Amino acid sequence: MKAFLCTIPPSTLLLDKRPYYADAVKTELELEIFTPCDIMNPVLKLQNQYATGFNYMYLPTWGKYYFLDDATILNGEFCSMPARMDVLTSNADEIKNLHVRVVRYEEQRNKTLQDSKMPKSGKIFTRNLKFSSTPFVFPDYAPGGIPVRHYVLSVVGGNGANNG
Amino acid sequence: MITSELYTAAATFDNATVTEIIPNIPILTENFTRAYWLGWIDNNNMPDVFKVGTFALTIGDESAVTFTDITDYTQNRDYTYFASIDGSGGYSTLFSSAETYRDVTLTPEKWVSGGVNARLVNDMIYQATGYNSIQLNFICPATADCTRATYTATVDIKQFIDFLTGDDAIAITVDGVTHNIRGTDFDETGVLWMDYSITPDDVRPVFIGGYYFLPGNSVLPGTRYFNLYPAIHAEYNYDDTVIDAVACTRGSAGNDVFLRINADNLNVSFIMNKQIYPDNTNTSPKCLYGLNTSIKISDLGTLTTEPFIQDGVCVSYSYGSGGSPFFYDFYKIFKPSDIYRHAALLRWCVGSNVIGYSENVVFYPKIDLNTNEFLCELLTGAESAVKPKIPAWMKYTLEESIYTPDDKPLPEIIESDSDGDDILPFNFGTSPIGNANNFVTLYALTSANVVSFGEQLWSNLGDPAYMAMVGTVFTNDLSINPADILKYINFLRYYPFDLEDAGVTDETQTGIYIGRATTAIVPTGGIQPFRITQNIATLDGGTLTIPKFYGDFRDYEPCANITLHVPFCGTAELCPSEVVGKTLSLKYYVDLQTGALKAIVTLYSDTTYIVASLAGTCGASIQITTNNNLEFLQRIATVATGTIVGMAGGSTLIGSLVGAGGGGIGALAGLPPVSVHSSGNTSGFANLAGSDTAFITIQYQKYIVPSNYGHTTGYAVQFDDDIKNLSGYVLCENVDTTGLTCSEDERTAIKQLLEHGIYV
Repeated sequence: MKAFLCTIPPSTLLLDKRPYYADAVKTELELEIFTPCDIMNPVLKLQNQYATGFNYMYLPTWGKYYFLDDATILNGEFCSMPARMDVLTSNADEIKNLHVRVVRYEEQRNKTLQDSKMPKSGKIFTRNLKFSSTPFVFPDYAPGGIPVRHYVLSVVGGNGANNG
Repeated sequence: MITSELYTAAATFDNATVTEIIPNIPILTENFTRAYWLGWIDNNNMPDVFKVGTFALTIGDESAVTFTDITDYTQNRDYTYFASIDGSGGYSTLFSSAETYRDVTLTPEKWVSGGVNARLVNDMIYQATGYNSIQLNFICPATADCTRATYTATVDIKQFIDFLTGDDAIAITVDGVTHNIRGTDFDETGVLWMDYSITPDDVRPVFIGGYYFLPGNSVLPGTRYFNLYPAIHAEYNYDDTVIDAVACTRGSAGNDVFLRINADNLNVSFIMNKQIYPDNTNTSPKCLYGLNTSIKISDLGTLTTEPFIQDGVCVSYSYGSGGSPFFYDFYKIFKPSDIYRHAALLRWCVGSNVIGYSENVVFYPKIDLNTNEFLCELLTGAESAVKPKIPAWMKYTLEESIYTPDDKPLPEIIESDSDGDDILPFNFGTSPIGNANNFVTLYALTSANVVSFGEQLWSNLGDPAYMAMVGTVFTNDLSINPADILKYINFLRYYPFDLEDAGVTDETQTGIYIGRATTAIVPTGGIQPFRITQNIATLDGGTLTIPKFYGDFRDYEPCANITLHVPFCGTAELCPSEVVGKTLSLKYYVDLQTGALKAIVTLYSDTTYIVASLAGTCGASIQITTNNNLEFLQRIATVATGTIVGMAGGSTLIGSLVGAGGGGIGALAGLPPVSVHSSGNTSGFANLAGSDTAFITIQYQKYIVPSNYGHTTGYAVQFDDDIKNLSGYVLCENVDTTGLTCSEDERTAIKQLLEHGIYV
């Protein structure tokens, strides 16, 4: 089966690695795949000279992209190399058209949402803020020597002014 | 309270006098001991500002300079400085005299209310002279009666902080660690960070320091200024120089802004935050003070020095015929990240016609929260006819101001709202005491009244004429028992506020009438007692704006706790969602009969929205007799001679005994209350909570956000979109992959990856 092996730099979590694949130096090979074969996780039979130096592969027969894991030397000539399908890049065009609910995003932030992942320092800090004024005064005299009427005297009757 | 590093000057004012109250603008009238003077008034739109009496200004190590009879602003001159001191002790005059007074309000703490059209003062510049001190440069405007063009004072940071914060603790971040400090205990050096808050935010203008641009020594200083404008002003009235966003240039570190500024056609404006009344702000953004925006800087001189960029911010910039650079950066003492933060807070923008551009352009800064990189958005409008607007992403806080690629408006906090009935605060109305009630009468007395009234009662008991008068209370029987008089006194109670100021008295009704007496007892000491005509005293507890600190969910529960402390009432927990970003109003309602106190906190903008209601007691009952005293007095009256004359000699004894017992009226002479009424859930003076002024305590959870947080973890969002419209780190939930034409195993794997997080 024809295969193109290469090395690409980006994270495995990058949705579409095809631009990196396109720019990469590729090695075209005819290789065997051990059977029975799991399309998602095929195991390649490669000549030992290809046991290192690659982390990515494209199989045009299936139209799928794969991550390559560490090879195991079988004998003096061949090695086995597990591959894992890159389901993101292999289906990138369709995935891009998915309409999804986004809950975490690098480029925007909804400041009103609780962010449970934001790391806390374990500390708190405190601010005190006073109201702008108070009606309470305690001294007997206000500034300027003005007496303050602090006391309420309650008496019985007291309508003498009218009675008189 | 205002605390902000952007404030450019501080002074100590004494004996301020408010001479006029601006209609519809709450003004605090208390004397103050400190204020920031930051206002700058458009000479064509002079707002109501205030007059200041005598005050002393102290800056740094300079000796205090007392200004006497400071006059005021005028409507015809540009008073853009207020005072200055230099090393030689010289100082400028404050304002010109011989102009019409305007009313000015200085609040007790750090407030200068410059009126509705007041804007930034640009002429007081501080620069760091190392992290231990700050240089304050005062530059006199050309129209000022200055003996020097500029004055300089150097203060250490502690002093400066003290200027800015007074006694109020404030959170200051030093190297990423936030300290809750006061000016008096700040002993660290290094960068500072201070948030600011406004009380209340919707009625008072805020002036924040900005830049000063001096067109060379050959031109009288102070004639050209660049101003900060409120963003809301721009939103409403921005109708001159800018803009539709059509392009974006991101400078490496802010240099882009300034490097693109050419000598030609430079207009600069700074857009401030929302704190100015939108309805009353100027309608024209005068980028150059005193000049129309069409005036070009190129008319003023020649660019002589390239902008000097430091830490990504233009520190100095020379324009004119030589001399020192005159374009100063107020934020120089701060870390770049803090500079950027405040730049974002200020909605700092620079508008200009630049080299290679035929259009007006405006640069808006934005901050990359992950890198603290200062990014400039170049916005340009081709036609002046294009109605300018502020981009939707420009908001009021740093986080709110972050530009989002789709220019999607960020969701706002949902205001508490209801279609239900308004819950109105208590309407106590007036109680039928005083004129309408002939059973009891209340009088408002001073301390001197109380003392003399007590003395009169006791010392005149042997006076036949006096007793004849008092005896009308009973049967005109002169053998009145003094203890019986006390029966006609219900209570004497101390309140920690001025009853006259509370508006419950009738100053036309003086003297004390007891029982059926038709003759008033007039205390010989002090001023006349007034009759109280209302049972409930309504007192103003002031206002308080609760600022946003983080500007996001961290300002709200459960990340933040807000505790309200009310004198005499204790504490109450406030719901941050209800109050953060809002201005609160506090009213006290005191039942003068019982001393019961009700404190009701409402939204300032909606006094029917009750945020908190607390009960307490603030009336302290003064004992005028006790059971034992009464019995004792009765015994004396009976056992002695059986006549009132016999009591004459005993009065002194009685007074002494009562006084010694601590419960008699003779013991009142200005002494603290001896017993405290207690009701409700708190008790009297024990609940002053360390302050006679209500306050809140906000506790914030601290967070340590990695610089690559957005890239590795992503920010919390909630929206639906096609993945093709996204970029960067994306984490989805509830992904439906049934439409994909791949195998079931692949669909399952894809779903797991999308819900784990991928990069687009």
